Amino acid sequence: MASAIAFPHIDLPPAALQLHQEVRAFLRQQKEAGLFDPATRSVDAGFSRPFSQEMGKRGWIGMTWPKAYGGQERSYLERYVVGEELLAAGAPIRAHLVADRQSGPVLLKYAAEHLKHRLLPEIARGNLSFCIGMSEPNSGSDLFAAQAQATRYEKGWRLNGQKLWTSLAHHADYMIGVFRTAPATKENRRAGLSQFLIDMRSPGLDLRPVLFPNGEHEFNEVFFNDVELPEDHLLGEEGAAWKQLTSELAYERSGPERFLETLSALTALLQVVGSNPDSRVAEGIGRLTAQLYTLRRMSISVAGTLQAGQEPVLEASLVKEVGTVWEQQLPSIVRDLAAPLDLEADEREALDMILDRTMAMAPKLTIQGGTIEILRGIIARGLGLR
Amino acid sequence: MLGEQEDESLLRDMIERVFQDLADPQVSKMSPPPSSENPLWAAIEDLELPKLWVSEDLGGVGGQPKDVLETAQLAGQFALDAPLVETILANRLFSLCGIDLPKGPGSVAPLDRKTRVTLDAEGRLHGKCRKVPFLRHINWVGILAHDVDGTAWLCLADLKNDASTNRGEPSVEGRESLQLAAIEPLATAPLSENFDPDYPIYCGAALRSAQIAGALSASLELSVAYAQNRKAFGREISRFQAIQHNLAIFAGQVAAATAAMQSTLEAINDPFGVSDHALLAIAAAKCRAGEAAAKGAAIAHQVHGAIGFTRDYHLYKFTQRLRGWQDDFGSEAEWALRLGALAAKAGPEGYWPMITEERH
Repeated sequence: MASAIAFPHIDLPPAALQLHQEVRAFLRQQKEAGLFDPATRSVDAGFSRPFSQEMGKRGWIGMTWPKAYGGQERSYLERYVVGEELLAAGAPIRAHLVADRQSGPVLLKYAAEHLKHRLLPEIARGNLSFCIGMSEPNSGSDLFAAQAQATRYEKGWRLNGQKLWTSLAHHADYMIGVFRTAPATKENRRAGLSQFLIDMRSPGLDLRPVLFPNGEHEFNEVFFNDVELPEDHLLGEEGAAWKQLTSELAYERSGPERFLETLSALTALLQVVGSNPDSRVAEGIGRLTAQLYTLRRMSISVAGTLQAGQEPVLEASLVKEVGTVWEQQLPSIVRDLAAPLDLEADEREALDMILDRTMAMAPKLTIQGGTIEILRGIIARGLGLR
Repeated sequence: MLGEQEDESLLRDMIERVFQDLADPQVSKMSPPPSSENPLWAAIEDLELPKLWVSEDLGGVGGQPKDVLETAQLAGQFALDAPLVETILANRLFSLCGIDLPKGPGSVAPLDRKTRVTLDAEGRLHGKCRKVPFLRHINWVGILAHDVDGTAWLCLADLKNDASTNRGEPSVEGRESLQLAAIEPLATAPLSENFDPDYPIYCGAALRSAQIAGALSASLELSVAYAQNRKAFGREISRFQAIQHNLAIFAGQVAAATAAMQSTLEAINDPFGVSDHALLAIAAAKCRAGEAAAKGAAIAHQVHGAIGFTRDYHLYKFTQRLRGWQDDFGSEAEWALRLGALAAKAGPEGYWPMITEERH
């Protein structure tokens, strides 16, 4: 009778709760040391090699990885807590975020041993940054329409083509990219795509910045002209990208980054409304709080389910769907709540600065990491509708 | 739930089987009233469910908040035609006050925060409690009243004196207004000696959140099945992307309501444990569940088209219940106001620690 949607209540274990305090203390330290300025939220400010290295010293990158590869073998829930504290504070985590969240796990599953031993410990130390090469000028949501090619030659592979919207490629040491090693067939359009590890300093690899509307540089177009890779830079099986990507796309990205990206707008509002706001503001903040509190419980539940070795594909998709819509609307709601308030000029300016930024970023929140339309289609499949 | 032992889900399975057999929402069943002649209520009494939240040493089943919330969720899922949840809540409160448990089905009243029932100097109740579920079919009500000094009391009122006011055709769940005109209660007990004055409304809010989660889940299931079967333009309407996306959005609301109800577990455990921490969990749950109820019900009706907007089909049993439960024990806006006050008190530095605080 009931639908199969389950969000069991998960109590965070003491080891995870402990981390709330540890990370908060760490952030205070980093602020004092000048490595972290909460007031600066640009893409550039988000990338800090020194900050990532400090994280690495505490074993907070690659937390769940085997110790043999530089990890700590800690739980998903402990990793969750570290992640949410950093995101809530707006800490500069871009230098290790992708490597920690996606690239490392891909290498763990599919890379040759010597590559794992070379790269994973360095990622865990905060020394290496990765980018993701998936989208192209003519393929984004439709990943299987990718055309950039990898062809064999006597020493390995040659890559040709382009990737687009490649976040922070200009800072990355490596890319994990999807390239076509065989044509797709009519019967199987998922066939023929493979995953590769690419050194971003390879000859033949060029970048062009692609700026956000507000002028910030996150995206790039990456050009491959006979970029050469050794044989063993193929990750996993040839032609198996469709299979290798599924778990990554399906449930590993339902964490707090799916709803905390604009939290600064809410804290900025709290900064100016005082301890006893009028009922209009109180109700507005209250609704947002109810939504945030619930999203967090949903997300922790998914993390706990992952910890138990299950694959909550539908639940993870639901967290992403509800979460990204919420974080996208948050700045506008805050803007409305704040509009009639009598604020000091400098208060208004500080609030507006944060609102300007979060509202400028809002459109991308339901596009990045898989558009919401595709996500809703995945949910529909999970409900048995397709 | 995760890591559950077999015997913990035994109760849930038993209740679900009873409801499957005797509480099919497709079968209209307002009469006979929930009494021993009614097979559903007889089965409920057999399982001693009215005493589910009464401790064993007080003659109850000794159920934990988890059992109670799951039962409420099931009651919502089956659009139960009986005031089981209200009876469970009332008996919980009576047992904490040393008031002997009455027999049969009952309710608590008032169900909203604004209605004031007074206990006068002669010990008689005055007031009007609106929208009391199954009023014609219950024998008693647990009334939360205030005396002239403002002291809060729990009172057991017998309804055989025809204290109720019947006005026209009762709604789904048989909700009607209860007029208390100098009614002498059978028993009274002061709240503050026995639990925090906010405890009843916190429990009510948590239970309603669970019922909302159950009813939304069932409504989604109904909507998916309908879309998979209903044909238009030469194909099942489930094949249309607009329908798929609306149901995906609906599923997100079911997810939110389900997660929300779970977070109230700790908050309703301790009758004196009404803290800011508990307020956050309860308020967030009821506010979010109420929001989910509105959004989900709207999509359910949209997917069903005209048939869903009739009594020929049973969707209305869920959506009318959802509508009523949104208002019980605090509406979204009322709880949001309290949450906003909490948040402002915490301030920008304290807000995130407040959201993440856990106590075991």
